[in-house]
Amino acid sequence: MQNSRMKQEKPPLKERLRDRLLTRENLQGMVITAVVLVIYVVLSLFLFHLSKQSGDIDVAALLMLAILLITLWTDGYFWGILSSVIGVVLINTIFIRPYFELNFFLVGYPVTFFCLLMIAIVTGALTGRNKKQMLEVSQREKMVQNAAEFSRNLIATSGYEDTIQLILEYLNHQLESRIVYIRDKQGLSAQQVIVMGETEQELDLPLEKRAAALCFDQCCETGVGTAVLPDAKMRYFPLISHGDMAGVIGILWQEEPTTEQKLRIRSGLDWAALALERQRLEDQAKEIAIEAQRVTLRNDLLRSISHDLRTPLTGIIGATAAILDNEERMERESLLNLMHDINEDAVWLLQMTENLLSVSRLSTDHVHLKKQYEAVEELITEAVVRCKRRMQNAEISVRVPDEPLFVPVDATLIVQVLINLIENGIRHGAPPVWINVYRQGDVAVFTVRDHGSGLTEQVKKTMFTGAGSKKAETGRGLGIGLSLCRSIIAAHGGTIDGENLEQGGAQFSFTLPLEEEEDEIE
Amino acid sequence: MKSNKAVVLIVEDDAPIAHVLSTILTANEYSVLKASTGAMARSMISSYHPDVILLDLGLPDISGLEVLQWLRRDYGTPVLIVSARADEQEKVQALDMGADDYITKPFGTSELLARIRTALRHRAKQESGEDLPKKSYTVGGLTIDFERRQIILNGEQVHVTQTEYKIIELIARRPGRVLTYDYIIRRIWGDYAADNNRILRVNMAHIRRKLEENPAEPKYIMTEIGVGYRMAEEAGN
Repeated sequence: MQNSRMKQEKPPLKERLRDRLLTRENLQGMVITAVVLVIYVVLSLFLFHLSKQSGDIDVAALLMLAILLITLWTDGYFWGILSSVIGVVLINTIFIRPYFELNFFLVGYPVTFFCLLMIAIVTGALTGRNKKQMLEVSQREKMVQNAAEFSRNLIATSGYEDTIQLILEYLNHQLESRIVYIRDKQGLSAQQVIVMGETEQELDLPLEKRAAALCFDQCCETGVGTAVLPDAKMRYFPLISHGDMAGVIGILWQEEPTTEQKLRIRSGLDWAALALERQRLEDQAKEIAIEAQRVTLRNDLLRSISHDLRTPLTGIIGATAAILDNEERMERESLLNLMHDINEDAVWLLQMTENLLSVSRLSTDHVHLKKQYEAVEELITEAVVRCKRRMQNAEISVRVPDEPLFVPVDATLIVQVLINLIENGIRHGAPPVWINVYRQGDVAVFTVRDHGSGLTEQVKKTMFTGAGSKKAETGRGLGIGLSLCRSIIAAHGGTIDGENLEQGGAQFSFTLPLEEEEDEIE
Repeated sequence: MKSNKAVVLIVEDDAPIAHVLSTILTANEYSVLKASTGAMARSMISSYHPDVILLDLGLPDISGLEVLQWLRRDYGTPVLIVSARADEQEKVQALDMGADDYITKPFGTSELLARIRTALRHRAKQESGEDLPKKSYTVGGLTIDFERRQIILNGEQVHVTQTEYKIIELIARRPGRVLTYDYIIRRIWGDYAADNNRILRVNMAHIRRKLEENPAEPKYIMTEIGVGYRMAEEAGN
């Protein structure tokens, strides 16, 4: 910065003196001393006039009081001593014969003066020490309060970034100095350093970085005041949590800190290490919980799937066995009927398999689905065509908005959702199935309604969980279809729901957001 | 009336599916040859010159795409890709590499036969030179007049933008066959626009609204999602 400038000119002597003399404390001291002395003089004059005998003792005693007060109310010894000198001069001038004349030659006078001076000094010393102690006590009290508040906040904070932020703020506040935090050695070069507090000092960045790097390597304090790179301006402390380096905290200090400050630093660092440890454990616990949940979900899914596979397969085996055993005796019509059943079961199995494929697609690419803008009518048409192939007589009708609507989706998955909903509507509700899509704000809403008897309370409770795979009276259970639909829609950032309509029948609807961040679209 | 039955080569390594295909085709007056590997397919193509090939992409020895590439170097035989639903990428690739159409397992008989017929017809026209620019194409209530560049729906003219007309014409000149997004984009907007098919989708959405009674139940221009578009053919064509 302005290193060169600093060497050039110092402000003129007069200005410097003036700046040093006219501080607030000095002005304050001056005023207090003046006021007290004036009051003293007035009171003494008054007392002196009242009684000429005890007058001088009273005056002397009053002076002691005045000096005491002045020393108490001002900082340091200066004003107390000054006022004792002035006081003595005043007494001599005003109250000792000859009055209103300075006379230093009375016997016993120097002793009085000396005593008064000593009083001033001792009082000054006492009050000074007292004040210092009180200051220390109040400081310590404040520190304890701060520490208590800090630890309270720390307990309340969670999340790695917030914890670090809090610690840095605390240290910065306590030490009133610039603090930096570096998480790991890679963070050094990547400029991932968190800084708190301003400084005007110029820092030699490469040197500081080296000191920080050494702190990481050797796991000990480096920088100013240590044996390692003492030329650096900052001091680096390793944060050790659970035997690992949780980071390095660097503190900028201008001079060797007091014991007080060292204590604060130490306690701050210990807190930091503790907090980071706690954070690490929290994160770990969360991961374990998630993993456990995933395992449970997967097991539920597998159970549900194997049940759903077994049902149609046993149907196929039964039908084919019947044909093979009895085909000579069977009427053509019965044969055809069994074939139809086999075909139906197989079609159901295929649908099941496609659902499974979708599940696997969803779980591997959960965060980054490959989305493309598709026209909503194309999605619906595809689903309807495929359903009609399987259930030729199904009555399905569709309505789309006049204005073309595009949504960013993984087409295969959304078509899968629609097929599931349509088939459910036909199998468990009743045809005709009406499909509608329209825009609502910044989402597209798809609805699939049937004309059946609606959803029972029991079904409503479990339909999205995939647990409802027991055979309903009308035939196959709902299978994993709906829970898969929910997963797919959720992965797209939408919502899905099912309800009974007043006019009769059940209606499932789901939403899909219309906009997507630019970098996610192909 | 044909004196020779058309010869279909089925290239499929999965025996049951090959069996199904063969059964359907034989029952419908086609002569069937079967190959279960890419190498076998090549030798049979060279020896027997089939009229149409049904090609499965998932062959054990070499990929169906390689067979296609090899085939297209020397032969113009119509090729229909037989695919499972998940192979969308491969399907599109094959179409762009010269396959004529595709059929997805499980397929219906009529769909299979219709596509084979279409493929044969297009190829026959090409070879006999009959593939001269037609004057118009009609299906259902829709007529596209290529000479006057007009679209007439149920007797009334439909106003379309120039781009929309170009797209419709392109698809109508190859009725019954699927045209991939890429193919259409390249023909209409040029080679370098191929990466963004949004403009095509938007145009198609508008076209659908102009031509179809219900855009979600198209009668004239079918969408093959993930692949492209197909113009409907008159039944019995």
